[in-house]
Amino acid sequence: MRASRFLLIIFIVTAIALLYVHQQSRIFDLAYSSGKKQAVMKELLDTNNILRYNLNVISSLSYLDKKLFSKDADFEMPNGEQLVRLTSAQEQIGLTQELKKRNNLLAILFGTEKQAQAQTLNR
Amino acid sequence: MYIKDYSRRLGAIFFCFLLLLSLLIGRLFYIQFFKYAYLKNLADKQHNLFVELEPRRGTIFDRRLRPQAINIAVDSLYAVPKDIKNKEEIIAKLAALLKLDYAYLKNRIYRDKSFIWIARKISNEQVSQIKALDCKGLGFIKESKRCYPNGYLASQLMGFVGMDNVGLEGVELLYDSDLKGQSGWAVFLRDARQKKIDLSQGLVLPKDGYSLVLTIDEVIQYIAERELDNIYKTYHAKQGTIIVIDPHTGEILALANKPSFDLNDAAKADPEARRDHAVCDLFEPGSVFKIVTAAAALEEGKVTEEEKFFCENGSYRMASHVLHDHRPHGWLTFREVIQQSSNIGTSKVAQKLGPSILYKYIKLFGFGSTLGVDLPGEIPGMAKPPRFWSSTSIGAVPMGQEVGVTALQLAAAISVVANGGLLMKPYIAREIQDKYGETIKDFSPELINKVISLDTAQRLKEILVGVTETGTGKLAAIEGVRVAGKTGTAQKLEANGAYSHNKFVASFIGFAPADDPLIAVCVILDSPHPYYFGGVVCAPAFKKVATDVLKYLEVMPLEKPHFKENLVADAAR
Repeated sequence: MRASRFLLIIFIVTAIALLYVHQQSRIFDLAYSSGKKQAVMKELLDTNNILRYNLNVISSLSYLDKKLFSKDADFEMPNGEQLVRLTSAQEQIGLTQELKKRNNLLAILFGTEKQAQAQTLNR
Repeated sequence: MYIKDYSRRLGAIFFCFLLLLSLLIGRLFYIQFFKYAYLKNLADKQHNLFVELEPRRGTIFDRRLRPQAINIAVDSLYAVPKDIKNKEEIIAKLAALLKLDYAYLKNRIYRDKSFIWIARKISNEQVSQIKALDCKGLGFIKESKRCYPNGYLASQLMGFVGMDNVGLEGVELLYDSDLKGQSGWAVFLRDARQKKIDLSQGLVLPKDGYSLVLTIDEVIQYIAERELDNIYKTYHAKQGTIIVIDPHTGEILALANKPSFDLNDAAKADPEARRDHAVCDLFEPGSVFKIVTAAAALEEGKVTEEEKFFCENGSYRMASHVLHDHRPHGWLTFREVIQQSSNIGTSKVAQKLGPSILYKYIKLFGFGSTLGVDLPGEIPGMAKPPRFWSSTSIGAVPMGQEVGVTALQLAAAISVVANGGLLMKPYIAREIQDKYGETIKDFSPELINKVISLDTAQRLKEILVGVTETGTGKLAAIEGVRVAGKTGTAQKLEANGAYSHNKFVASFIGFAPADDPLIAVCVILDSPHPYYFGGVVCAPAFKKVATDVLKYLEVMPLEKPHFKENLVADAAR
């Protein structure tokens, strides 16, 4: 009886110890894998940043000046009436949603799809 | 006997073990209580890695949030000398790739150190070429590099940072404390190979720097730079400045200087090119200063627009000096004196005013003291009090001699006429934002003082419109837009103190549209040749800048800043 209890305790302690070791090794495994993923993420973010910077450079006025105006092209600042304003994609989405809302409102008021129905209240 | 011997042996063994145990306990005691700190430190060094977390320096934007200075991550090359096997070969290859001196590299790589920098913040091409060498003992560390997408644009105004991202010039220096942020730190675990494991024992996150939004507009800045570059090259000038300012608020919309430099290669720039001439250099303004004399005379009621002055047919003795006009004039009205820029007529107006009143207005216009612009190195200029004036000063000062001004002071002065008599503090920072775009600090227009009444400003404005319609500044006139302005051509002082006959400072200050001014522009060109008159050299540049800026503002109007509540009350007082 004593020996079996002793063996049980030893087993439990060993199991706990093994679990603890396993847990620690998993923590380190995850830390290594997280480190690798973070490095990849950082690399991607850095690349993104560099690409954004390159876009900024390419669209900068000094760069355009070098590329376009250095050849003495006869460019000049346009007058207000020479410009056509284009709506951006975001504005377009906003506009479409606004139209949808209006259409819905019109449909509710005059359409046949949804009609007001009297409902009985069961109290 | 045998038993006795056995007992003694046992006793001896026991004693030996006891001694060993005591020694062990003693050793443990020693380690635990006397060597604890040293050993813990040693273990910490082996297991833990202290990493300083670099904050991201804030971005600098123009007023429409177009980035002017940003950070990108670049590689810096380091070496662990003891790990490099074929040192001579590597030194030769690196010297060629990095364009570094062979002796310099040799000196570094043969050092008895475990870590040395070889080259910091190198280009991506260089990184890939060095990686291709596949050399053990060379490594890369990512560092943040300040980059300026617009290169030469507003270089003196922007300033630049050093190798460790500390601001050294311009707004980078002045707003360094806001831009730089605060470093953080972390302690990571290290494995047996000294490799970092992403398990932090302690962590203080870095606080990123705030972003700075400037009052300048990239497009207006470009227009100013383009026209300045044009006249700077055409007239072979020594240096030049164009300032575009919002006359109502004091916001600097553009500040261009020539010569300039590439912000991305600031280390190689000539120190003279790095100087912000607009605020750091003084010069005698010449005839543009007549606006001060004219404003004082009108405000004090000493003259009317139609009052006539005899201009002595171009030559007038005043004490020991003889004043000349660039063209002889007989009788001119006060209006014509300013429009034709008669030196003799202006000095006669000044004599009616007297030195003390003239000096009062010189100070009220902001000359002789700093305006408080948020740019480093601003100088006050020079305006002598009347007690230091000579007998000829009353003839010299009203036409812009014996006074020293900065280009920014001239821009602020012409803004006084444009905005109805208020001297506004010029400023360059519009707001400070955090990384989410939330405003941390908002800079409002500030009134320095009220210089002249609205009525005087209006009358002077009409006279200055005449300068561009019938006077010396006709080349500044814009079709369909009323323009007010004043030309200036100042002789430069020679080393011996005499006025030069072949070195001049040409200038033009003005604003447009005259009836509802949107912009005030100051154009200065130092030592232009062969032409040197302000009306010939600078007025056309003003015209081009004003024309393009007005067209641009028609499409992209300026968003006005928040005025301080007491500004209007201050102005009324």
